[in-house]
Amino acid sequence: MLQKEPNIILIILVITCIFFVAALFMIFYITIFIRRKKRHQEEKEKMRLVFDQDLIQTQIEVGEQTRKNLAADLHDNIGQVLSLTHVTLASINPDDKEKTRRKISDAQELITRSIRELRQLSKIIQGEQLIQQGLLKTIAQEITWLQRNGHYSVDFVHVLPDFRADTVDKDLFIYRLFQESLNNIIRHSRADKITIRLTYEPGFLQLVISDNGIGFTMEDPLANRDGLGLGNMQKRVNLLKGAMEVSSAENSGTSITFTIPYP
Amino acid sequence: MYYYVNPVIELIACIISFICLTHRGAGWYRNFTWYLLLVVLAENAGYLTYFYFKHNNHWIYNCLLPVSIFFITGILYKICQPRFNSKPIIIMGLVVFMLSYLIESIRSNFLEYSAITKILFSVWVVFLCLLYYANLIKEETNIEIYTYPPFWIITGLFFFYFVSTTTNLFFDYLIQVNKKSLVPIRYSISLILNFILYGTWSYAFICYRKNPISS
Repeated sequence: MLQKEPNIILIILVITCIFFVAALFMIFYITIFIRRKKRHQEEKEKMRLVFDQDLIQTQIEVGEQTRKNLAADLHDNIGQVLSLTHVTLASINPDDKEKTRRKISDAQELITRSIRELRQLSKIIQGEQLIQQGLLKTIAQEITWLQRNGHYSVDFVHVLPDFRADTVDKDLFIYRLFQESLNNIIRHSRADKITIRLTYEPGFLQLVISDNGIGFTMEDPLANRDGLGLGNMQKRVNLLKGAMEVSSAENSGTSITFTIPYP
Repeated sequence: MYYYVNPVIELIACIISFICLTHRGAGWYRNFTWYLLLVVLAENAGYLTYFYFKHNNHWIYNCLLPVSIFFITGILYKICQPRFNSKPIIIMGLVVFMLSYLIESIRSNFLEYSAITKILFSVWVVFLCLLYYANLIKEETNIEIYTYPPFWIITGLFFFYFVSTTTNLFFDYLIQVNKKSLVPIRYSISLILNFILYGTWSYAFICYRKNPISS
């Protein structure tokens, strides 16, 4: 009996200690788990804030680009056509009926062209809202505008299914990436042929923009100073959790590939 | 003197609750002060009855048991209900404990401690605490766990009732051993557990005073 009693007490003590350690371990695990979850949520919130800020910035940039396109169109097309109309009408001599008739007919044609140009212009203004109708339509509109000035031969290939999900924010980022790439080609590449491929594979959207221009190397001061805006583009691609690949060499064109999780 | 450590721990917790939870915004947290005051009074009564009047003091703790059951059930309800529907478990538990308590107490003419009721209650409290933890882990809310009062109140309860399972199961045996041995095993374990329970509660009260929030 004397031997038995301490044994039972020892067992009680050991079991109590095991329960104590188990409880301690559990509380420790729960606190660590919840702390990590909190930190993860905070990081997610921070990312969301950065995303929202960049979204606003992108909206501003798309707006700016639209205004630039608008100004260029007013100056290069409508302005020229209207000036020509003005000159034609000013040169009319009412005594020369045959010439007057021809000039009025020319002026009529020029005004019809101006109206057509104005209609195109209104589409550019709508460009900002066009993103609501989908990425494909917006990119197609931009390509139409590019083709109109006649400097580039644009080859546009697209395989994009109709998405039901709300992708407006993402589309705006991708559209802006597309615009920036196109701006780089117009401003620096001296290319005359542009190829755009917009394809979709389950879960991913791929946008490839290539040109046959002068290309560049990473040692190029323009690329080094980030005059091409590659750093900004990379930052946006990272926000979308995508990937960007630039391949270029001197005098052999440039190709830029964006792979973005989609939708 | 060793036996007077428990009432001192409870008294300290009671004073902390009084300082931290007496303001108007404390809501249901204010009930802690009254409960702890009752526990201190019962502990002192138990101490005096046993050591000065040399009488069995089990009936005092037996009277305190239903109060503890109702109070802790109330706390669990207040803390768990916003996270999951704890009402059916709580009502069912209360019915079972009250029946068990009445049967045990009538059998002993209210003179003995209702140990089986305490065991059932402990298992039930541990179960509810685990449910609370599971829901806390699952949900998306962003809480600062180190200073979140409901979490520490539940943690105190979990520790107390989970670790005391063995002493509750061997209650009668340990009472007998206590009388013979030099070191009171059951009392020593309950002293550590009381220190953890009232320590975590006091910490929760201080957190609540610094940052009053609802559970």
